[in-house]
Amino acid sequence: MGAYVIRRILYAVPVILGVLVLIFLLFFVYAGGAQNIARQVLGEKVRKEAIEEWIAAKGLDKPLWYNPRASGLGRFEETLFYAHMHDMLTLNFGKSWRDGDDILEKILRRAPASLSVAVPTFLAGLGASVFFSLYLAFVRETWIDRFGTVTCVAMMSLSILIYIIAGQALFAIVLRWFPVSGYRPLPLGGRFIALPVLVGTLAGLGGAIRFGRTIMLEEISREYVRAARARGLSESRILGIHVLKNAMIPLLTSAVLSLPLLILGSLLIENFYGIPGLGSMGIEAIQANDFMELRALTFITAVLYQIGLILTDISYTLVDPRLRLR
Amino acid sequence: MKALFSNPFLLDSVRSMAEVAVVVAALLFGTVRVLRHPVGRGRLKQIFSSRGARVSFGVLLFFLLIALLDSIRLPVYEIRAGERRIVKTETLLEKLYHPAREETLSAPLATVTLEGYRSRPLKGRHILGTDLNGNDVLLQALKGVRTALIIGGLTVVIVIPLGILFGVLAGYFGGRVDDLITYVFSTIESVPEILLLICLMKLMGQGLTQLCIAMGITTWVGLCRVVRGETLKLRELPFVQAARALGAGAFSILRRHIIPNVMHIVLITAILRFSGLVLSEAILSYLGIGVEPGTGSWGAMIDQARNDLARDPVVWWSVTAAGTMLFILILAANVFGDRVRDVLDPRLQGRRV
Amino acid sequence: MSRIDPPGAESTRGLAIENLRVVFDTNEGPAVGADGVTLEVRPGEAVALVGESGCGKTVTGLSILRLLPRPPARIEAGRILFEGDDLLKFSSREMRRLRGGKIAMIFQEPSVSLNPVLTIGFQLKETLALHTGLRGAVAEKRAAELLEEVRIPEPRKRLRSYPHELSGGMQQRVMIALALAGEPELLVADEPTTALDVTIQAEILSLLDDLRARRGMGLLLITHDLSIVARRTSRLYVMYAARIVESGPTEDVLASPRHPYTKALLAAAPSRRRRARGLEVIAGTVPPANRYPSGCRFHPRCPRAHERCSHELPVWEKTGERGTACFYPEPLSEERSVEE
Repeated sequence: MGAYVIRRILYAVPVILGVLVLIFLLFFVYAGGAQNIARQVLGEKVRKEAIEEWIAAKGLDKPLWYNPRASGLGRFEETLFYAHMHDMLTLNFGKSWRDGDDILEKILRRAPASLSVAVPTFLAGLGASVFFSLYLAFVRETWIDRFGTVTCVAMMSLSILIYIIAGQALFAIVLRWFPVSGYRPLPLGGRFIALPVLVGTLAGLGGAIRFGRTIMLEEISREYVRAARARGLSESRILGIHVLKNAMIPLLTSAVLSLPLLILGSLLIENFYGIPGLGSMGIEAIQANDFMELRALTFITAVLYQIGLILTDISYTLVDPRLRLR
Repeated sequence: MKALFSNPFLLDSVRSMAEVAVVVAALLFGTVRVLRHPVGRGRLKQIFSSRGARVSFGVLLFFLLIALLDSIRLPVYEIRAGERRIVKTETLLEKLYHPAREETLSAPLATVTLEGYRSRPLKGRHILGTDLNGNDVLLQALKGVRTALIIGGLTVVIVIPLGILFGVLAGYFGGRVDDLITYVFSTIESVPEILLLICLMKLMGQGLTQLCIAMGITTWVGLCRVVRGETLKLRELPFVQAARALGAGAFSILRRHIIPNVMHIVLITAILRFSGLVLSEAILSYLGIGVEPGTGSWGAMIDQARNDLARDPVVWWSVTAAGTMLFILILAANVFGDRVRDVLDPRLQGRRV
Repeated sequence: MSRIDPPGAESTRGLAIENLRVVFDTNEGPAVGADGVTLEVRPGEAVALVGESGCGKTVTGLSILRLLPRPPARIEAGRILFEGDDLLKFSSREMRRLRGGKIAMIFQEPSVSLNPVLTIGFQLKETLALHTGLRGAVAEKRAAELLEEVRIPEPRKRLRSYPHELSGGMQQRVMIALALAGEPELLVADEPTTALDVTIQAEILSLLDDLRARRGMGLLLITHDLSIVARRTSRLYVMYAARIVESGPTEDVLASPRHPYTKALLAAAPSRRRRARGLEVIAGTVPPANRYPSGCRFHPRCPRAHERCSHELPVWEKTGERGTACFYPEPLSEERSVEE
């Protein structure tokens, strides 16, 4: 088990390095060098000296891969690529271009707000999708099932933009159940995060329930279910214990694989509902052309995603005894 | 002749038609291939035996028609100083439906502009009202169709050959080739799609072509993974093993046995990916990094109108129009895609998923 | 071998299937899974139901416990009498009490019939709790006893095992133990040894035989393998294309089959007597269940088919203990024919 976990973590290392190279290719190589970046950030009408000054201040005045002016190892170390890899791996994300704040500090400061929305959304989404998909599997081939499936497809077909806007219009403006927007830290801010969590959960629910239902039906068609029926077990026990425990593996996987969707949701939801988390930080960074912040956020989400995948793999072994030996 | 090619308006028209032509050509090519195959004909019949599939396909065709109308650009002439000159181009759609441009917001079917804006009489009636700039909302919503179909369709068409190629190579040859391809797509996959899209669009700048490229980069990954998985399974099947034992070369096995047998998975993935692409486009345009301003886009419409939602009276029509169009297109694609999957994927066959 | 009720007397004990007709609604139209199936398993008796795959024997077996997926399966006609009650009229609650209680069933693939993520002990104890109300330490003890009864070594330890940790033969023993948990009066065994090695097959079959004799439990052994029914079952039913084509005491049918299909099946089956002559194959294939031929369903493959066979369905003809559905059956050999 321990060896498995270590091996699994080691698998993630090259992927993380690959992500760093990808980010470098995007932000430094493709962006077309420091001059172009500076123009994009500062605008077209800035004096040449100001641009040079800005480039020097941000430490972008180095060659990309190889520095012929340096000596020894410095030829590789005094390059943008080395600086980028080194900084990212040591979590030294640098200073924000738009306000000069330390980016790591900023991320840590904003993370609680994001987590207080993302964690309840994830849990509520997982719980609700398991509950409803079990229920649809229980009433399979009835009109409730058909109605549920159609509703799921309809829910999947709605853009998250509509969920956000309509959710606010309905629950905050018409029904006045929640504040329109804003944020207070938990535990006092519960009513502020309620609407974003509700909207985030609803937005992902259609696809999750439908997927869950498919998985449940696939499990129900397995022989062990027929054998369990032949022993006289009730349908609710078969579904709630036998089928559910087997279905947890694909359900957990899909929940983790939908994490990026949660990130996408949180970008828009945080921005729209005024939650000062990482999502709205991302949007602000986009609007301000702050590549430094974008770079750090992209890296962090990729790392979090890998951690999520590792946790899923470990949780498989808890659910499925057949995997425990490996 | 030279003047003809240097004419920027003409170039514009050719490009706009070429974009749609690629999608239509791919659709026709696919349809002909399916129809020429007896199994394909049977499956097609089976797909269309469901009413949901027929209706959703009809809706998709209708959207395609709108997109076609919106792709054929005709020059608008003006006589200036005794000379007939092209001043701009207009699509056939705009020729057929050309509501007057108003000064500012007006409610659906209203006769005057919205209260609080010095109620002025309108030049014409607007079924879905007008936006802040006085543009007809219905026309904008219709113009969004083309963008959505191009984004979804063109990207999928570009991505399919790439996904098949790399997926089949990785799955069939295994070893180093597989390691490399798998490594590349797991790396790309571990950056959340929307962030990667944002980064790419930020760097490439707005535009329809840029969007297609950016989405192509994020989309081939999923297709490649699916094709690779299927190829791995096929490789072990007796008929492939037999072909190999008989001395068939790798290339001919891939061409005769593997690729035809992954096509159904490719088709299912492509149709279901289509909706995802259209939804992503809306989000990127909403964030202001999608298509260029002026290109019709539902995301951009929603972005423009969201501030108006706080007005009193609520300006709901723009958001509703864009949202509804988006919903209908995605719903039709999802329903049709589901049906195709039910028919083509034997594992799910016979079950109403 | 076992007690035989006087012919003609309607037995109220044991299982009696009468004229069972099961239809599957498929995309290609209705397919008949069982057609006019009539069979009987008396208490304590071992009966075999034999036929090629797809002939409807599993459908018949599953119908007894009403385990056929519905839709697409539909029981159109017939009665399934158990101890005098028609199971087709049972409510789903009554049916659940019966399943794993008075009637138990085991299946072909033990490896997939056990829930892979639950321990054997959990599955045994939940079945015990359901049918006997035993819980806790008492259930634990009883579960171990059951494993011991099916000759699993170290039963206490095995309770904590997961199914994948056992061999195929052991898994089938666990399935049998699960079936015994409710003290059944009838065990339906659907191809219980097909997925197992030949050596294990014999062990499982003799275990079933012992359990039946010791517990006085009826056994319906569904199989495609004629070689395993001799000396283990007292009576035999042969099925072809959803219909019973021949029945009778196992020994008699094997010695002198009357229906050409039984004869062909015997010629195709390996047995000690015929080994030297080599095996024969039955020409042609089993017709698909949605396109059965008119008349006798075996006529396209039958070496003795006459013109009449192709349009007229042969009726069931009973001669003493034996019965067959054929217009031109093999004559009963002199010494074995039963005088009426």
